[in-house]
Amino acid sequence: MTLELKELPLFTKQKREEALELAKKCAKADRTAQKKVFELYASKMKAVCMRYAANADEAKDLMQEGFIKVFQNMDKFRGDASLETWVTRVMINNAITYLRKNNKITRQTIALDENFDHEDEELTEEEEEITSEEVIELMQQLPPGYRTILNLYAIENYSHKEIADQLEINEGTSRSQLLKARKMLKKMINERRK
Amino acid sequence: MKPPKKHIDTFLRQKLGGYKVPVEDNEWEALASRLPAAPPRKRPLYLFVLVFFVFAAAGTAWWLGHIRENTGPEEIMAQGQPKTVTERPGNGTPENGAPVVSGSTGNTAAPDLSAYPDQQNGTKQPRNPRATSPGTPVKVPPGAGSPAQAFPDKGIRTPGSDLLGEQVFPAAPAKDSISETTEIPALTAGIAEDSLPAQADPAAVIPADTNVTADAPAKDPSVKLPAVQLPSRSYFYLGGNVSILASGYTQQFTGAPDAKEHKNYREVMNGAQAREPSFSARLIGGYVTRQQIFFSSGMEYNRVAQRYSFRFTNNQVPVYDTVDRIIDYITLTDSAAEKVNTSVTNVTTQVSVPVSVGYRFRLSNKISMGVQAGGNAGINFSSGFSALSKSSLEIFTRDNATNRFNFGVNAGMDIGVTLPRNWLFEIGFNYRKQLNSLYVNDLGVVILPYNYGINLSIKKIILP
Repeated sequence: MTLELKELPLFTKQKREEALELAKKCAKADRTAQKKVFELYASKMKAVCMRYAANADEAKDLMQEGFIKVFQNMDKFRGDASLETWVTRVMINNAITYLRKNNKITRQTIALDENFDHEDEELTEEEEEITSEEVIELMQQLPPGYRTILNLYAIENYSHKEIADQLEINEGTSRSQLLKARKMLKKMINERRK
Repeated sequence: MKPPKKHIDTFLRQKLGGYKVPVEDNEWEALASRLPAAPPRKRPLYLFVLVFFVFAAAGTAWWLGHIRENTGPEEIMAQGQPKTVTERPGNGTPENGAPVVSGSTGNTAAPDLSAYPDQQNGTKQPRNPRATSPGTPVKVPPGAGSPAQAFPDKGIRTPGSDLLGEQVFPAAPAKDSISETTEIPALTAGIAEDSLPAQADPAAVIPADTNVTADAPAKDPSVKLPAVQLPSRSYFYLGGNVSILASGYTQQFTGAPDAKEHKNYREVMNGAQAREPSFSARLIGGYVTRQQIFFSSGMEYNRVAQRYSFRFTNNQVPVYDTVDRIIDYITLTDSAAEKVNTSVTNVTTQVSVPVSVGYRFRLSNKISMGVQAGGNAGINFSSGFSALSKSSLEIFTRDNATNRFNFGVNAGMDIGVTLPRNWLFEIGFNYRKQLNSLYVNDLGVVILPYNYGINLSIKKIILP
């Protein structure tokens, strides 16, 4: 696990106060403040939504819904983490809620291949040359359950227990779907590079 | 040498962790059109209560001022009962010999009202006969130059006179120009009704200590009449009271039965304590003995708010993973540790029943001073409290006090002004202190609310 010694919010008191002030204005439906938050984080949140959505249109909808929830719940932001982290969490929760509501998460545990090879989880130098846009495009082709678990585990750093709690599945399902997702994505990347 | 292969998770994190996708120009407009408009601003309940009290006080003051201008003698309380003078035709006595002046206090004998069927049956004369029938003749005794001269000591109102102040009488017509029983036109003839004071009255007020008889000598017309006085006998009262200005807590970080150490912080200290809007509002009732000892009780709503500034040293830095979860702490040396100043606002609301005993000193006819002390007990309506978090990223966490009930003491003093219609207005100082601490164990703090401030009270005196 990669550990980062991040700046403690207490140490950036000024930034925290600025974020709290901005959040306070957003909670009061101040359009200027809301637009500022949107401009600050929209491009990053759109990338987050693209990872969870099946296509660009769905990502756009997820982002809009996500920002509405962000502004509706802005009064709950207390400056414990950065505003960006908080907005990202709301976006991810919104995406998960959407996927769960639309029954896109598979609850079935997939039997693992007995001949599972860790080589299936490693990329060659050539495969690593694939661009971010291409990776997102390929991820969108994964089944929604695979895609969600891969996102949560690999990028958001959730544990299998946390994923299981969030998606209301068991840990075994999370593990098995993650392995399948990795294998499938590697295969797609490999094919793209050929 | 062939470089090691990268795990797909690491690859994804690197490629997509900070990835951004350009946003189209119209996306904000699309989002803004779906955002709800600004909600109506919620005003705290206590503001409505304060506004209510302000309007109630203003309305009461206006009303009292209004009725004072129109106060008749029956509404003025002077050690019991008012005295009235009734103007009657004839030579100072009614046709059947009943006295002209009636009264019920002092040494004056109770009048025989048989001569005045309108008073016997409780019918009141119009307060201002001139207003109801301008031009109606006023009968005066033979030889009297004018009604004012006929009853110069009885407060009869004439143009230019002031009922409660100096009386100025117009020049009287020559004695010999008036026949035995002369009817003269009303002095108001030719004067617009609107220009007349509303309370010109044949029945006028005289001081309580004046023993008026039919042939009483003329009094100095410059004598001013006392308007109202505090009853000298026992009475009840009902009223409302609001205290504003200052409140607060005393707080300590140790002493709660199950207090825990703050994990991340040390040398936690309270810094400046700024008082936030706080107030108490009470509905009160009481009984005052003849000796002016009073017993008071009622219902009290109490809001105590205070902003705390904390100073502490943070010598532990959390280590985060990529999604900002704390996985460990690094302890810094003192030189590297950060001195942090931060603040939080806490509010406690309580409903309680105060019980007080006091004494009211009579300073003058209208002014009195009260001192009182007592206790109170009640329920903590809301006693959520925020304090420094013991762990995690959060600076503050919130928890409720474990105590459900509260009890304490209160004391105060006031200056009261007796108003017409048996109202008593008081302004004073009140101090209230809770005796049982509020324990917020999870935060490791002990809180003792107190409040003090300027008291404004309005009470209605009820004579049994």
